[in-house]
Amino acid sequence: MIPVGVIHEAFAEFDTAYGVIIRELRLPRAILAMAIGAGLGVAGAALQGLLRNPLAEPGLIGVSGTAALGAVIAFYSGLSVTFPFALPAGGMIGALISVVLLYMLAGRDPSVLTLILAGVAISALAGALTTLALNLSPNPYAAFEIFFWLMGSLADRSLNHVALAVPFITVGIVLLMTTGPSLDALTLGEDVAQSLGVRLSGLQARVIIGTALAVGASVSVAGVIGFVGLVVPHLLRHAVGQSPSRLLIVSAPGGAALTLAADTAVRFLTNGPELHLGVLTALIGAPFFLGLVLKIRREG
Amino acid sequence: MARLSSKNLSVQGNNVSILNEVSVTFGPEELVGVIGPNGAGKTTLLKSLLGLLKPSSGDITLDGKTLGSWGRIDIAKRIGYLAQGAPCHWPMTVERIVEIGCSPHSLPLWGIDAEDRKIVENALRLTGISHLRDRIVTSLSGGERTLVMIARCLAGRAEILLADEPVTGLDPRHQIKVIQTLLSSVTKNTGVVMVLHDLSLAARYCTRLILIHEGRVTAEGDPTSVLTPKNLSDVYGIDASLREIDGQALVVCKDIRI
Repeated sequence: MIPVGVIHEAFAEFDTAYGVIIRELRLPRAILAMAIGAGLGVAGAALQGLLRNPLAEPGLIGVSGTAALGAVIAFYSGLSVTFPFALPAGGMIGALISVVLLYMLAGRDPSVLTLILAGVAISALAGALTTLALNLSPNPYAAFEIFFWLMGSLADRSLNHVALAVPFITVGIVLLMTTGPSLDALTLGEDVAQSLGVRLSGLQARVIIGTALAVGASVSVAGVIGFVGLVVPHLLRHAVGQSPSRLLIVSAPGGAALTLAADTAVRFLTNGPELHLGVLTALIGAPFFLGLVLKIRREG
Repeated sequence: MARLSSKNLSVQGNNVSILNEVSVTFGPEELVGVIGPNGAGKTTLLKSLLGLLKPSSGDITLDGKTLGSWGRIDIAKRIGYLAQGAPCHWPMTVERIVEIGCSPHSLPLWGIDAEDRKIVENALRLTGISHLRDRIVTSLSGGERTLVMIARCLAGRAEILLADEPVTGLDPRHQIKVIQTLLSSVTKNTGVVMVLHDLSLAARYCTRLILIHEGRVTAEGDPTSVLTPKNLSDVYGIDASLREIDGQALVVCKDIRI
């Protein structure tokens, strides 16, 4: 527990050690953890609703991978050394490109299957190009830096990172929240959803653009923090009666809470070098994913 | 009172003609049966009338205005759709699925309002599934699932309901239960159009039949004028006739024609 006096010091702008630590280090990190967690959780819930597949995750349609590639290119080109903000900007441009590519591959009115295949293709391409950048890096330190950044972390993030990422994440979440009723109708199939008044292309565009904003902005400041979009909706789905619209709403606080807890854990789990947040979420998420696949296979 | 009609409607898919110059009209106070062999274009007709498929030529009009000039939501308020196989992708409760049926009229953030609650209760009662309200739709039998989807359509308050093979694959009891439920939803303001393969049920319950063969309307009218030995032979290639046993219509099929 943080004593009340410390909070008072932090927000009354006292330049004491506690105040500086909380304002400059802890606060941005906590805000980012909650915003990114909420964004990833809602993006996962929305994608699962759109694809009607509980295994769908923001990484699936290639947004995380391409956002990471964009940031890696900023690293690799050395732009991020001269302009620190080239890194987050690269990530968001990457996310944007993945969405445009997805539209070019899947067309104006893509079927669910085409969308998944297009996402897999984009992910594979982004992964290959990222590895290529690592492989060709003339500077081993740059490659090392890229490698660590890809692991995903919130350590040493400033309020500048918050200012750059949180507005985009917020707009993304709001856009995704508007898809709730349409995703509910989509439970009954594409034809029935349209007969209930859903414009399919508009729904797909909102989910994809909302995901690109939320996930792209997140990846650009924190690297790849995987599986939050898978674990959070899965844990909450039963509690809201499987309804996609309700799942969207609860996945925001759910994702925020889980990511904040995970980020707090990585600060205390190890004594030496800090465990990366992305490593922890992958360590928890991957077996979870495997279990989910086995469960779905069993249920046929 | 909605009136939905097509005039010289043609639909192509992959350069193959699926519907050819089809002109039909649907309105209130009747249960219309759309019959015809597999692949005749029955589902395509329903989807075109819903605005889900783009016609290659011809017009579809809803209340005198072309369908394309209506907004998706406005079409949804007037035409309901019962899809083949009653699909449901998430294991949600019966009550929640019926609530989703209200969505053309209101898009609440979390629950539904008092007026919609009444409509949902009424839909559950009319379809006789109030006792199933807390059951998971995906765990129900095909017949119960179809009734849930009819309740969902009723909650949508559409004036014309297009039902695609609602009784295919159901046991005899559920076939009759489903058709009687659809029939009971036909009022002076509402009508039902149903695609089906069981000619005896079509003859017994439908006020009007439309026989489709290779994308064209081959015959249209009351069951006795449509289900003639000649039509059955020409369209289905069967040696059959419409009989009456104990006051119930029955299509007796003796053999297939080569």
